[in-house]
Amino acid sequence: MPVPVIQKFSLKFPIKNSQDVRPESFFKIFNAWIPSRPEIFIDVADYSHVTDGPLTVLIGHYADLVLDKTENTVGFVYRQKRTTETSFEKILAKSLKQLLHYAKLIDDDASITPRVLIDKTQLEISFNDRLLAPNTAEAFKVLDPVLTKSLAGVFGGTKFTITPAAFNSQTRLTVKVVLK
Amino acid sequence: MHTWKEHLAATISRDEALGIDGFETTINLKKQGKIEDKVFAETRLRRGVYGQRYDNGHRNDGAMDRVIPFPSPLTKGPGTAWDAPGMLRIKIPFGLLTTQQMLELANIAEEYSDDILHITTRQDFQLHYIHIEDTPDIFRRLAGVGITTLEACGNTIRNITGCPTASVCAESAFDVTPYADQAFQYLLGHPDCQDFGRKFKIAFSGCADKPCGLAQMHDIGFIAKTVTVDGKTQNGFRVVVGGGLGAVPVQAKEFFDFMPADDLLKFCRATARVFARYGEKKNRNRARMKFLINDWGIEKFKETVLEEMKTMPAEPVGARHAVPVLANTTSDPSNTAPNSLATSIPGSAQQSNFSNTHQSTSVAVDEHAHGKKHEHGHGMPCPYTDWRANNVAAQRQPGFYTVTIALPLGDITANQLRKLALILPKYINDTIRTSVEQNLVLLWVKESDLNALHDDLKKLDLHHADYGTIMDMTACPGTDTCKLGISSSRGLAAELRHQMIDGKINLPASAKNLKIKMSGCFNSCGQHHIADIGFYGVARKVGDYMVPFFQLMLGGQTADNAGSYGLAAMAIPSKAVPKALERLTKFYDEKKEASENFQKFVERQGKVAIKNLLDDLTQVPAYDADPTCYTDWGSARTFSKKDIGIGECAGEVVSKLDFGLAEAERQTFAAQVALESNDLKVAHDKAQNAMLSAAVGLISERDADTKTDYATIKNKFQTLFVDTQVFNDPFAGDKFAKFFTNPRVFDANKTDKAATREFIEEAILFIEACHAYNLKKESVTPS
Repeated sequence: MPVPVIQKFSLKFPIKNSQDVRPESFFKIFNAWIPSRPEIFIDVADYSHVTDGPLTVLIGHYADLVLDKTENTVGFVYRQKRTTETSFEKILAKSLKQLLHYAKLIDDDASITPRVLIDKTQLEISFNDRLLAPNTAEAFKVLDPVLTKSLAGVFGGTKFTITPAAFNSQTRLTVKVVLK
Repeated sequence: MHTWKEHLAATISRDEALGIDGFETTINLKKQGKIEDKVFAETRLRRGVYGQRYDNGHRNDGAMDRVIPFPSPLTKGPGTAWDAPGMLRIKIPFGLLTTQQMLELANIAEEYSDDILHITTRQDFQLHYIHIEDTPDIFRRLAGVGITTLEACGNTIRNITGCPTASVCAESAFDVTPYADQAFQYLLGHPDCQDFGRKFKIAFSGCADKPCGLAQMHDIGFIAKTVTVDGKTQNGFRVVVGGGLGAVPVQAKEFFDFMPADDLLKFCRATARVFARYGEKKNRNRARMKFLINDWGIEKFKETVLEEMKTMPAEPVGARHAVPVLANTTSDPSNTAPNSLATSIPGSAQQSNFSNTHQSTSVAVDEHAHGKKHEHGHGMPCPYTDWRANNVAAQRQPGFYTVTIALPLGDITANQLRKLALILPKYINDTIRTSVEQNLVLLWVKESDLNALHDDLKKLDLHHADYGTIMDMTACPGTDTCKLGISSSRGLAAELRHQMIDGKINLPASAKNLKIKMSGCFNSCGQHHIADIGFYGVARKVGDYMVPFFQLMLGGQTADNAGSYGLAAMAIPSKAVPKALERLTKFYDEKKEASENFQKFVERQGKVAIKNLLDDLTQVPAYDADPTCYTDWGSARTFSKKDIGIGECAGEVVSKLDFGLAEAERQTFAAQVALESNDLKVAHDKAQNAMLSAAVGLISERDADTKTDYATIKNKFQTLFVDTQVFNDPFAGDKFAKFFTNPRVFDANKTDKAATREFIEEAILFIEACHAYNLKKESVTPS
């Protein structure tokens, strides 16, 4: 079965010290990134008044960056939306590199006090495409080898495990990656 | 199956599927430069695809204007970048939603938007940051669960709103839902409603007094009423017309003291026809029906509509818009709902101590919002007793209750909506309602389930005990996403909410049930005219800088169906609004007479007293002294008005001819696609339909009531355009007209690909001749 070219997915690193995270810090940083970064960023949305979803979103053309609290887990999300790449493996690899790049910028930003500790050993991948990536064992089986190959390419010799979350027709296909 | 089109082919009705396919083709044609911006903009607006802030490709970062380098050079409307994210308005007629629909809405928000669903003041859902090229699949998925976005924007009949509790509220005359449903089904896409100069809004209210329907601020407001004739109770409506908010707010005027419900559709159709025929089309600022009624006077308007009711042509037998069957869309899970009015009065039996409700101890994101204190969710107290007092109301059917889920700023996340849909079957039947107050309403909850429901809602952080209180504010999108926003209405609402929760604004108990509504500009999408305390965004220049201000509106009300509108009192700097609110409510608490409501109090005190109370707050410190005053709430940038764009609220005035020609282009494109697939009969039919669409467009300018079948159009075309020779080409004479009046006939045994191709070419030539006629007509029409 051919691997579908999935363009829409979210990559999430949890934040270790979530109790210290201030959405307004991300709001300011995201605003500053709009003119200063080469990517096409458009605006920042503040959703800190709601629960179980995004808190602050940097809206982009190809991808969004999100301070997120879905399922009560505070994390930093790279939400891949569209691309000109034509293979899922390449799209995923490129997105992972972007996530790591922006996570480092957050890590290094001295304006955030206390500093945000992004946990780069725990990665959650959620597929925002119920047609090409339904939350089924069959879909995971097709994607698993590509995930493995793409992650290995990005993380080099670091060992990792990939585990799907519960298969459920209501929710997105989600996998947990643990890097060791 | 690799496309939603294939996946949902068996689920979506043929008409709906064809319409969506047609829109997808229109997108492709626009990408090829074959449709002009104005036509495409109005076409997408009528599908609910709306522009959003920065879609002109520019954003001011507080210091300078910067170009957003969207990849595509294309546009999707005048000055609107193709790749710019937009808003999608999803119609929820009278706010009625099934759990299946909730689940799909959640999925769509997750996959195409930013995980947030916003409920509007017309009971719609709005998704933001949607790409135009994702919209056909979104439409398909919505259609798969029975939702349409058709006519959600543009110069159309917008979502028909309806009181969500009319079936259970002791004060309602009867349930208006089936009537609202009937009107929605009948008017959606009705030919008589396609040629308006502006939008048209209809509301149904179950009673005269409560604020659930807001009938007085609508083009047509239907207020349920019964009369007794010969001992029999007859359902009908008090009907008001010509209301509206916006820059020129107008209270609707009475048309009928009582109109039998049987006349509902006829009245709607006649009014729509009168508005389409006589309403202003050129001056967008005077194109709503309220201006027509103002110009004519209500008596002339009534005479004209009543005459239209008598003389308008009958609906063609078998037409799509034949009168739909009156549906009963309300549900009682126990099947025990009484049909007659019960004596129980809805309302809260218990009083909460408002001043003591908002306690909090924690900070930062793990304790929720904005790094500030917050009493909701995450283990913070939000007592059942408060929720029961504020959010729960007894139905007229003993033992049952309505429960309102108060949504902050009208927002709910995809995950919350999904989880809510999954728990609801434990408590109610399959449906839930959105409200014009941007909340969700559950009906038919048993008293014995209230505790468990509260516990379940608490797990989703949907148990806020705010409903009907001053914290349950209404705000339009404002500068967050709207192209017209001047000041940040959502930013202000969020800040007021946070400060109330944190106790930074000290509110007296008498302020508990005051209504606050705010808009980002004077257009009043946040309904600032009908609040006790309203705000709308303005700007003032201080030194060399612009400063965000809000105009304070006082004296409005939602009661009596939005029975009175507030008046502007004074403009207050955005950053001073929390302090102004605190002073105003304290002033009210200290000076009000016994049981004097806020409107009466404001009226008695007068503007001078209010101005004296707040005057010092209007002073803005110099930029160097306090630059924060020059930044709006919810913004990190120095304030400016440079991001304001051209709004799409007014839609684009596009004639039926322009629409007909655009449809013709779409059909010829589809014909060529079919030809490539060797589907010759389909190609032939589409080419013929293309010519028919163009001809219908031409004829509709002369005869708005024309039937659209080929025989009728052919005869009319012959009479109006061929016999008079006005359509003739200077060189080819009536050659092109004959392609339409005497078309090739498809013969499965003889018609080959070459002949089909020639027929398509003839269709294209006929359509070009229609364009040429249109240009010739315009060139001789006096300006």
